[in-house]
Amino acid sequence: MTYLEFKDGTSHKFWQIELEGSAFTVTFGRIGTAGQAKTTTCESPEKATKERDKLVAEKVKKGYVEVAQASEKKISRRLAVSYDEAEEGKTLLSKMEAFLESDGASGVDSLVIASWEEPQENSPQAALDLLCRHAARLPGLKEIIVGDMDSEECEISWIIQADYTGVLAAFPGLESLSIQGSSSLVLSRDPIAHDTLTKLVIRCGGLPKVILHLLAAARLPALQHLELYLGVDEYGFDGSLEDLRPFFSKGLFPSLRSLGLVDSEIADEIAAAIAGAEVLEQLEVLDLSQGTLTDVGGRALLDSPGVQRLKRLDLHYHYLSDAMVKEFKATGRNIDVSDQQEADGEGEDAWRYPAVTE
Amino acid sequence: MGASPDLLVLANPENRRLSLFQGAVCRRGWNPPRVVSHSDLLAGRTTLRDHVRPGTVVRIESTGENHGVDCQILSLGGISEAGSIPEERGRLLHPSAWFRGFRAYMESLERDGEVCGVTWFNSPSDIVAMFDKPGFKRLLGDLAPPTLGTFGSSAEFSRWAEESGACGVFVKLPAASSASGVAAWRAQRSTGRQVLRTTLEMADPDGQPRFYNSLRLREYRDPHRITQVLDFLFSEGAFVEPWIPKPSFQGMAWDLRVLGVAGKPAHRIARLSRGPMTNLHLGNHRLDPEGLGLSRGVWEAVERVVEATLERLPGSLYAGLDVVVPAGSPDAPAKPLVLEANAFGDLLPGLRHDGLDPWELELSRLGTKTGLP
Repeated sequence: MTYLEFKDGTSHKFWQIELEGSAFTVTFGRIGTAGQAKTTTCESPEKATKERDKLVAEKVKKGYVEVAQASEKKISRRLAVSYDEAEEGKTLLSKMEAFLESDGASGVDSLVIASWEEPQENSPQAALDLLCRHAARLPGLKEIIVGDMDSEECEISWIIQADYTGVLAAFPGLESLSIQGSSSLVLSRDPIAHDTLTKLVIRCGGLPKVILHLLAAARLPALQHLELYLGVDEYGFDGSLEDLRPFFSKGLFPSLRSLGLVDSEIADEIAAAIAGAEVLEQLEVLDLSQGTLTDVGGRALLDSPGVQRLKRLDLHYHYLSDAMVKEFKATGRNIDVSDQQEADGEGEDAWRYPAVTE
Repeated sequence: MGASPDLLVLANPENRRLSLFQGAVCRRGWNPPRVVSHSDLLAGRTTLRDHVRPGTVVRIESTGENHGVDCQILSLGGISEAGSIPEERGRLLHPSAWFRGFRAYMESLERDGEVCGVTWFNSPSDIVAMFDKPGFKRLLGDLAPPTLGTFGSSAEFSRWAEESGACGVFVKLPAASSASGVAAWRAQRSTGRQVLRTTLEMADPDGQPRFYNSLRLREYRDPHRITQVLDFLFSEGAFVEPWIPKPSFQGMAWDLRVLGVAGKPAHRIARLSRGPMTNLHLGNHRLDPEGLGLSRGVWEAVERVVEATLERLPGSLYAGLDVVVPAGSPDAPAKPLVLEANAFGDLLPGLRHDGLDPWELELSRLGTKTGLP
């Protein structure tokens, strides 16, 4: 079976084709629905195979992407309030109500709360609270994504977020939580303890240090992937390297394989500190991308034996020199040094900023 | 291919727009077009009537990218010292006076054309209609985003924004091409924060702000700077329209440039950008729109909007339309809107429709204007 997905701002669809002898069945529709199926019978199995390959190639050409692992083939539902709908007075809360009452809700694996009315002024709290009260209707929910907007819809640093204490409690089987925006964000009012959460992403213009402290004290035995956008002080990053030190020790999250401390204005300090850190012993992937990394931090990473053992190092969007980019490439290892930036100004006055400062 | 018509082009002769058009005429096997420079016409060294013969078809090219011609137009628009304005790359000079001069020039061509019975590619009055953004939006009605207002100053605008609760708008000069004099403004009411993104670059070496068209999007967050830019735009008659979020593709916002020829949508290209302005000269990406994977229904809606717009431009053989398919929700069908119409919007070299580039297609449809095969 070949399973493809297409996602853009206006549509989220899937297309799958299954071959059986000289017939094939195409199923297609919106992600999150069962879709419609159509079976075609060809003269021979060879003809059917050829026809399938042709159809798959056509879809790929149109921008569909093959999703290989069956595990990624999830039933996803996307709730969004468009500009027009907001003008007409539609709200996220009403969409959440309708979703929770829909027949398909119980089968949903992944819920994306993409946008809501005036996200720079309003929190999605009421809709999240409603979701939590009806958690029993979503027994299979593994993933929650809140604030999947781009800068066309809202300044990332202006998105008003919510309190997630209730979400973590209401969904003890949750595996993945992605939050965009840090204004008014409360990850939890209680110490965090969650047995199944494997992936946590917070993308924002500036991460407050209270969230770093909360995470440093969290019990997350299953956490494999942690990705934090640290950002700049102007948008809420009030921490320093000291607040990040707990994340450099081994075993804070026993299952952690991928650590991202990205979009930081102290990327050089982080690189220098992590280059000799114990946490590298348990990591496969280190992501220091989208920050203000220069040759200072780059040198520390190049010289680190712990970094050399990683399966992947992501440094894309950086301020490394041409010479150092070359040096990274010459290692032949899996290191992303694409998207080189140039500082504004020179010498002491040089100004560098991370990627998500709008 | 039909007998060669008598083609006359009013142009800045050094501009590549002219050579691209001449190339298409040559490939069609027609006689080379005659050329009269805007500069000679504006200076009164010659008139359109001197060059028109029975059956002449006249094409007006852009007057842009020529400082001397810009100064002649400014002079016609009432700027007395226009002759002594030094050339400064990108400087945005008296945009409202420029439009007065440009409109006067077009009106004189229209009058001359009527006297001697000219057939136009795009009539001067249609060209003016497309440059006059507020007027054109009235013509389009609900095919375009609504106009929210015009304001005497940034202070007046701020009061309006506070009262109406507006949180994201585009501020546009009433007559300008491409992204010139366009600013995207956004505010967070609860904190009073503002951000303005624009291609306008400000310099004030002598305390007097001057404005330049930049090839890079500028970002202003300092309220004082934002006030200065907005005051300039409003003093030149800028109007305000809602910021309609563009949909995203691979992390970039996109819209479409569709060239309409003889009433039908033809060449199309998607324009992708990381900022709120998708104009290609700002270093944005272009993409074959097939790659967007739009449904048949969306394309049909886009085509309907293009055709309806062209119906409102009966004197035009072609028009370059910027169309946005607003970022929808999964539950609502897309309703495309026309953001701009460009009277000289066929500068899409290399793009083909039915195997023809923009100029080749225009020539092949010229019969719809002349009545000749």
